[in-house]
Amino acid sequence: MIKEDIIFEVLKVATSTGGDYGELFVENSASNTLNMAEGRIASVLSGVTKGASIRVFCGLQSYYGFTTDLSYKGLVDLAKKIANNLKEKNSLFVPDLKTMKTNPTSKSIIMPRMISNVAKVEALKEAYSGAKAVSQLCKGINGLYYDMEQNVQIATTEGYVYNDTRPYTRLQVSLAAVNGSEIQMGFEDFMEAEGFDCIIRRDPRSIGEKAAKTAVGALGSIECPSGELPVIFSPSGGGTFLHEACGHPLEASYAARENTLFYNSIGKKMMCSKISITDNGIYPNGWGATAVDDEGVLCQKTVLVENGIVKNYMIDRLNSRRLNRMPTGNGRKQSYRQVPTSRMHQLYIEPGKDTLNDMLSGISKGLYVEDLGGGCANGNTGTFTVSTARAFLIEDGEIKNQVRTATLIGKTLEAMNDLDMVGDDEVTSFGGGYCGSESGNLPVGNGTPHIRIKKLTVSGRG
Amino acid sequence: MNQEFVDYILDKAHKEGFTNCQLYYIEDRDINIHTHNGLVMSKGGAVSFEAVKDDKLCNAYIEGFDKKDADYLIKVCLENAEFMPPKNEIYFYGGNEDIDFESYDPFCEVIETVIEKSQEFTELLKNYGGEFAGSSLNLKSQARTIRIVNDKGLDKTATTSRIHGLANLVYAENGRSNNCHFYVDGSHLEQINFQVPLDENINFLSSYVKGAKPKSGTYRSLFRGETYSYLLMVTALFFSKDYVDSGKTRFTNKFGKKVASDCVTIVDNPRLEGGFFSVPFDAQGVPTKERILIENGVLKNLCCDLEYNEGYLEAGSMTRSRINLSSFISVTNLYMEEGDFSREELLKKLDTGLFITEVSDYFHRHGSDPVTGDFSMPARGFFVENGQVKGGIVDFSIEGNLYDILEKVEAVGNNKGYSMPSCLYPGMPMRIGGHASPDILISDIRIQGGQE
Repeated sequence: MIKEDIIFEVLKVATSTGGDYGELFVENSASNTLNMAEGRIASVLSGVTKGASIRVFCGLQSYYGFTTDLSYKGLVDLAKKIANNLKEKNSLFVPDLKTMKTNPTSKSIIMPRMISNVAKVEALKEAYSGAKAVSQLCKGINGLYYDMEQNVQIATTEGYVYNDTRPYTRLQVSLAAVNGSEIQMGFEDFMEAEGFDCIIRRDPRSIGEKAAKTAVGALGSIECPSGELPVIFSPSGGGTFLHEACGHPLEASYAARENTLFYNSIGKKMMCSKISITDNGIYPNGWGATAVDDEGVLCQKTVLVENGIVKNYMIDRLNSRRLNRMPTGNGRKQSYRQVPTSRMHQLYIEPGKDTLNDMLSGISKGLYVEDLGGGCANGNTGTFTVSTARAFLIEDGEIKNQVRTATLIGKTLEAMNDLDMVGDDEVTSFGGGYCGSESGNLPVGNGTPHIRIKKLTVSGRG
Repeated sequence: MNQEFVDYILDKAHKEGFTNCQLYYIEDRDINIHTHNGLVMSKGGAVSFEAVKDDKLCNAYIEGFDKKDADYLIKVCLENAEFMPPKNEIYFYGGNEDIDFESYDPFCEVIETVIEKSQEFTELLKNYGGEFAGSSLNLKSQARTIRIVNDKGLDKTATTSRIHGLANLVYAENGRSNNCHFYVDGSHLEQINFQVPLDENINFLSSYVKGAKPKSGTYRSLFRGETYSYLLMVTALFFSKDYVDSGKTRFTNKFGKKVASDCVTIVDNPRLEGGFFSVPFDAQGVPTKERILIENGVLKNLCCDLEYNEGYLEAGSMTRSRINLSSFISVTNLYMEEGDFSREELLKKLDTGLFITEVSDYFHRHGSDPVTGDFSMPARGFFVENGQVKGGIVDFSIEGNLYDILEKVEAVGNNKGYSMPSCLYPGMPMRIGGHASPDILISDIRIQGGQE
């Protein structure tokens, strides 16, 4: 990483023509991507990403640049290029820098760089074997092992320098179950903010088995009904719903703009009083949790909604100026190449008092969603879409047959006011995924207890 | 990536026992103006090293070009060679044809010119009545230099430019607000025009604000070109030869057979003049060429690389969007060929039904399944009665099957609309090709709205 005296010089040059805040972000990340097709390693790509970005604020305007040249000259040249855009008389005072200690959220012992790719190949083989053993109907079994160790250094003109190490490991299996002309997809993965520890702790074989069972189970299943139906999300299914329906609109990049859903809504009751939502940036080993965000703000646990009342947003530095509120440690980006903006860490609904039986009783026809495949949202209007990966019909208060995939479509405020029951289950498992948005694809976690929405538009083909 | 680096790594790799070696270098020089957030300027280069040892193909990348970086690439490839299975054939291309196609605009690297272009949007927006607070434009101008060099004699360099703008229009009227996105792109700055999409989208937005929820049911519909091009984006995967061979698509074993209605012709053209993804050679160094994938409804061609080409299917469709991602077979500039009818003529043909003007699938495939082709996603549009566009319709979804839609096309417009390049899966790069389509008239589409 870069020495403090060089960082000091670079920040001084970057803010020499004005501005009221400057920041240097340096990254050195090593990653491995192993692809397996039909039990054979098809490709391995290993590499190192290294670069730096500099950002200067002048009021609400941001000037940002990045380079892969980490030499003193390379950094100073970039700083000069950015400074050329500001034409103020006075330079910004840069205080002496102090490197701060952080408490890494990842408790990993076996970091990705410490383990040979040979062991990762074995994990993929196990996952493949798990899928293959389920049924001969499974075709095109592909496995992916991805790990990354991201080392970042963030220095700001506030005088602080932070270092953080973030390991990520992901194992995934995708396949198709083919029976005559019918094809059904199966997909399963796990993602952990750890190194190889999680592979040892979890069973790669079960990932393959689960993917195969999903696809085979969907063969011959009935079409999902269409129309407005009550929907119950399981703890593993509700997270993506929460992420799309509520998470994005509560990011300051949306909420700080006029004419968006939660603009100027702090202190207002916007959803059912059973709902309390928290974003936790410091959950140990949490997928999406980090000690410090990518703007040099320490991460924290932020209560966003309490009993239906909006309490805060997820706020990055630039939008904190627009909102006149403190940043919450949610300024995140994929790598040195992206400009950070407000993003989620680990978003969840706090447990309530309802049981699953309470939720099921009284539903004559509805949908029980065990798992979602993903979704997208329009943060302005709150329109969101999520796709079911594994769902079951509810008939007369009982969970019945598996149905084929369907899309659930809704509007945030309607859905969060129709969310009438919150389960008493402890939120212990956070679904992991990647969220694609302005500052790149980022690991994010999300979770809920069982939750019931009185009505959602279900777009199936039944 | 200078010649000294190339010579050093090739020489050292050969001494370490690698028999074939290839370097792929990408340098991006970007200017990005976000009217809401500010300016981004960047320059970054990276190189990947592919090498063969004992018939095993290894691959590594790094963002750096000194001897230490070269040593790292060789070390990692040596380690990975330990467990890679041997391959029967290694697919390095040795042809060194002249670069006979250019797609580069030097103005895309001039910061003042790019800022000026972004200001056009802001100025034009002032001419419209109504409140547009919260609207913004993200204009990205990129020059990319690629060099691919190997020890089979290949050494090619090309610089291309890509400019795209994504506008978020927010419109408020009497306390009600709504938004929409529009997308413009091209290889040259002068292609970027905001006036036409602003006119059309602001007109649409003011109707969406007052829009009604249509009843669920099956409707004959006209799809706006931009709207169908989002669906075409998911369809793009059906044309990859590796995907077809995996048996995961209905196009498996359909080569030379009818897969769409007679009026459908779909083309992938990496040499499209002004095309966002125009490029003279692919990620394997193979010269690119236009491919007619579906001609008058018949599946005629697929996208291939050096491994999957056979018969008269030719290589040249390998894409590498970023150095830290593996190459994959992909379309470049994919579009449905224009037909003969103006939008007015298509509306007359439709007579009564729906004009679907927007689907929400902004970031990735959600709402559509690239294997089965099934899709359902939120949409907006208009009622059409007696060939006339009437009131706006909102809060409904469209559902169907992407393969079936190809067979349901009744007529094709003479215009062309572009969709924002996206990615199929979270974690994949955001761009897998450009997509465009004319307006198309569909015999039926199921919508989920209010009670029938």
